[in-house]
Amino acid sequence: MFFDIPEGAAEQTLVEFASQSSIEIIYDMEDVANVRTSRIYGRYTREDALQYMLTDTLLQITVDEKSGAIAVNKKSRSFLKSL
Amino acid sequence: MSFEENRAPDEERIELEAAEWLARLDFGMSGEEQDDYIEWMSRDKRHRQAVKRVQWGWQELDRLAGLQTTLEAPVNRDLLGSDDGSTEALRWYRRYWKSVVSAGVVAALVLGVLSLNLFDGDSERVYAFEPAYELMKRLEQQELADRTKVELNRGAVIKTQFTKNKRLVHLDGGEANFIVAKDPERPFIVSAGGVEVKAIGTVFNVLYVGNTVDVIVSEGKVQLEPVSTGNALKEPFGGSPFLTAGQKATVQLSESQTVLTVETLGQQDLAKALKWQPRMLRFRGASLSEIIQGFNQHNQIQVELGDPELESLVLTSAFWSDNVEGFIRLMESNYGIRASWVDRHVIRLDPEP
Repeated sequence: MFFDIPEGAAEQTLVEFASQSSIEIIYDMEDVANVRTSRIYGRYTREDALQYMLTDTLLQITVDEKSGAIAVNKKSRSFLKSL
Repeated sequence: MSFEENRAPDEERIELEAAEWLARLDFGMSGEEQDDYIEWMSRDKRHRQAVKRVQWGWQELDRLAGLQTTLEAPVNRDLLGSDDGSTEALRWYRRYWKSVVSAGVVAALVLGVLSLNLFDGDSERVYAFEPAYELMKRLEQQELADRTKVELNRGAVIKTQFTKNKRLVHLDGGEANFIVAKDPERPFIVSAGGVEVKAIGTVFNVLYVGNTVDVIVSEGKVQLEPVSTGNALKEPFGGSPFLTAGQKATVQLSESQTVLTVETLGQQDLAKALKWQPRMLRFRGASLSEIIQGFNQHNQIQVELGDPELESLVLTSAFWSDNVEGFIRLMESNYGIRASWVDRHVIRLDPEP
């Protein structure tokens, strides 16, 4: 799937991602506030595209295996402590 | 929250339920009852088989009763396998059987309620309700060989029969929406009960439950005709009326007469009638209750918030309206929420303790 999403505020870019990928997605506005995502341009699977966008952010994705829907949220505190 | 199926009901209970549904169909059902009937049919293949068996049995009784009426002579006793072959006896038998069935169902329900009070141990646990897991299943979408797109409501069954001259689809029961690929050389025909809906390139919805066929046209035009073969109507409606966008035809397929009514639906009624079809629900910076309301408008399964604290969640989401299950699973795994069944159609969300 071809993606063309500029670098920008996660609040905006994740909406654009959902629109371009037709993927089912949910995220808490508080989690993505003040987060900027990387630009993606080119052919990717939907999950890879989202992972690239979220590089160097404190956001992670959870995939519902049965339906493919995705939740984006902050990495857990235990994960952050382990870094 | 687990979405696994509970234990399967036993065959005898299924048979009783099938007979009860058919008895209710005889008296006519509301839209909500039709939804429940479709839900019940879609829940288990054995439900559909039981309906066919009971239906066949009653049709046989009616047929034999009809023979006597027509011929004004006693029914052949050998056919009945009984010493008493009178029509009255047949009618009485059917009434009696139906009443036995109804009494049986009532008795089963009463016993069910009693068991709830009597058995509260782990080994004999009896659930107060059976959650309607089947209503959580995603709706099926098919693309036929001619690229016509079909959305099937839960429980609907179609069979295709495409030839050089026509594209025939049999809707054996339930509800389906057709977005027909244009092919002027081969008309697209949906056969449901005693009715054929003929289109060339259009969008229309057919609901076939019990003795009623509803046809709603969203785009273009279709023509209604009695079926040409098989279970043709005894008294077909006059002519072959056309339906245009926004119109709804209801055909009642009773034994004695067939009644066709046509009405024009307003935008709201049209949307309401077609709300079962999956839609992408998009929310930006919305409260959880707003998102849930979006799902609730399109599903029989209803989700409710058990705690006003959850209102503080502000979410952006894009979900298909029929993916309640996926939505709830992600809410549970990501937002500290616990989901539980309140009754067989209602799920409540609470903060995790």
